[in-house]
Amino acid sequence: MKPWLGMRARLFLAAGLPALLAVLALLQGFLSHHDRVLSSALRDHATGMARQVANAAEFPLFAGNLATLQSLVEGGRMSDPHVVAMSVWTPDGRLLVAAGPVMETRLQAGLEPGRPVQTGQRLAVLAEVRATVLEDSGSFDDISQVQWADRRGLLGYAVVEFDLSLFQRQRQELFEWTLFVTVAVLLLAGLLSMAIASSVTRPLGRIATTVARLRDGVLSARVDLRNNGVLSPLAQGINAMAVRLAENEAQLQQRVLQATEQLRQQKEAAERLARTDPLTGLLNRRAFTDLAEREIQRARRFGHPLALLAIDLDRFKSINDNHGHAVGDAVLEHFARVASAQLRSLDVMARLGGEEFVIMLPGTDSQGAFHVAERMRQTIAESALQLEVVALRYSASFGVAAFEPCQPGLDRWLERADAALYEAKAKGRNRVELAPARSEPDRQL
Amino acid sequence: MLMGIGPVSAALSEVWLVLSASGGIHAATAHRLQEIWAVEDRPTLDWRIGTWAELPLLAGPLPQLVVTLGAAAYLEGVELSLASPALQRVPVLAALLPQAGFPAPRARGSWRSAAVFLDQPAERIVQLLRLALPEHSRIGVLFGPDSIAVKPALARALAGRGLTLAAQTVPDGAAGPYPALRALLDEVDLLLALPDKLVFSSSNMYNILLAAYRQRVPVVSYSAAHVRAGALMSLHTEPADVARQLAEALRQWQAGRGLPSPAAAASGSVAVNEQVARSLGLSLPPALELERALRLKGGAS
Repeated sequence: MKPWLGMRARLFLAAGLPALLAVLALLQGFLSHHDRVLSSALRDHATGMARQVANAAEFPLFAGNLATLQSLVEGGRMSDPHVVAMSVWTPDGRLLVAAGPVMETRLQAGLEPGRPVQTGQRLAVLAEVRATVLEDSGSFDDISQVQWADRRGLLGYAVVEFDLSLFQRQRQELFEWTLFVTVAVLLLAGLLSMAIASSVTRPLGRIATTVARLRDGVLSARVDLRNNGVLSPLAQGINAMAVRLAENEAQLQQRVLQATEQLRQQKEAAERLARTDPLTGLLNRRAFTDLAEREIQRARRFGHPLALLAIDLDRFKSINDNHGHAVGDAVLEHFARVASAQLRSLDVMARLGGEEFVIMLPGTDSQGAFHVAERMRQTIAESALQLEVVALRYSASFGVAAFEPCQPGLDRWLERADAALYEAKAKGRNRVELAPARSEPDRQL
Repeated sequence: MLMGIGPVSAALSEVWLVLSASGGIHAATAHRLQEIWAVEDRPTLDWRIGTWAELPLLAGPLPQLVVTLGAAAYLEGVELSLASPALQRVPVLAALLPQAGFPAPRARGSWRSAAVFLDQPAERIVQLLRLALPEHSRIGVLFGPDSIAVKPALARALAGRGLTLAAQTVPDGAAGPYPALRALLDEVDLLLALPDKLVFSSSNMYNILLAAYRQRVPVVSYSAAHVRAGALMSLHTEPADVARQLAEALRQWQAGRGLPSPAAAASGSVAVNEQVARSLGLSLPPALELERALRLKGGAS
């Protein structure tokens, strides 16, 4: 399942979210702090201004100089754009002079000296105008030495009214400006983050694709090594790993092929050993039995003639006794070689055990087999096995039996050949005897 | 002492009223003079009113009398008379100028000059102080180069009424009146301001008023403007006072008795800042009542 957030978005969030939260917290802190500072500064400013006006109004109020008072409040009002009204009152609350629209024609009940009162969009602050006198006349040149004393002579009040809407507008403008700057900076930071994140995620994406292809078995997949930035070592590592993986795979396949070939050869060798007589290299009894059964089936199916020669070396025991088993074995080998040389490639020769051999001749009837046996007997009899000092001569007896389709099987067929062989032995050895056909005695009977 | 010779013929006399500047107190005094002259049904005079530049000094015949209103008009006339023997033969009556601004005889050449000063006589000032502020006995005065000449007369007048003069002098060339003022304010009940352009210049006046206010010392001045600025009271010369005095001098001149000697203001007006009086806890008679009392005493004296 594909994750609902891509790698780039996650990286971006990992870097950007804390920054965003921090910036928002800072923004909130800055604005509320600024608000507090501004509000406090405004109140201080208002109080200070009222105090200043009260001080300046002292002598004109004492002198009843309304023109000076008027110019004082008008000048004061013009000096500050936030001041909407400035007025001077008598101690009994009668308005003397005013600049700007004074909100209350009478002094507000809640207005106390030095304590600004906010009403709607207006902040009003009152300062008492008191007569101060020089208690101990100091130097006119050094005002710091002048001692002032308050004789509690209340001359009147100065009231300064501020328009808060301008401040609120400024506050709003500051908020908007701050918000704009913050958003702009965040956007810029976001773009930079995305660019930086891309420099990581793009190579990572390429590497991930390559790894996925490797996983799917495409071992030729490689990461493009260009423009990987900080991930170049990773890309090179992935490529090196892929190379190793492909090499290992090839080696593995090679080894499997070799092992399979060895197994096949071993199996074939084992099979060959199981079917071969180790001394002569001829088929053994079991292999011969398999082949003979197959040839019997074939002869029955197609009606081909099939003949069997049962062979036994004459007086082989005396050869062993006189010349030793080594010579006996050499005789057996010699016989196998000489006899095999007389056979066609499709003929099958096997050693059944000891000095007993059989030869099956496919497509050969009893007469043909008899001639083959006779030729083979003569060749053996005429040949000699050259020993170290003398040449050893030996002979063999042959029983020939043609296959008869009505016969029950191989065993019976072998018995018939063996019977003919015994007959040849009995008649003096080194001769060939043909087993009689089964149908013939039946007919004779 | 009589000065000059009045017109002997019954022909219409021409009088020039020469203003220092068009409008203002000079024009107001000129008009007031014409009104008084008209109301009292005297033989008509041929008035010509204007600054020196506006009058036909070179083009036409010169008048029988020149009345200058303001110090500048008189001083300019002195300059012109030095170059014009004809003008030198016309008598001049200078008004609306302080006594200190009137040049010495040598400086004004051979021009026959009479004068009506703005200055109130010391005697009248002292009378006012006794009438308005009988409890205040130590009177402080800051004398400067212009006003120092008044000191003996003032001291005599004060002593005559049982008052004490505490004087400080601001020498010509001093940086400011403040060291002298500080010394003075410590020891007086009242500060009396006399015309002196060095001491009571417009730039000094506010600070002097402020300093006196800080010490709760009331200020009695020679100018109604000072009262508006914070002085307690003034004895000053109004255009009407000058006009009345000029009319009297003209009557004397027309009657052939010549022009009067240079003299202080014959009458004065009083202004009281009631707010200041209230703030200082003083109870003063109304200004008109004081004026009337002064006129009665003046008449009596």
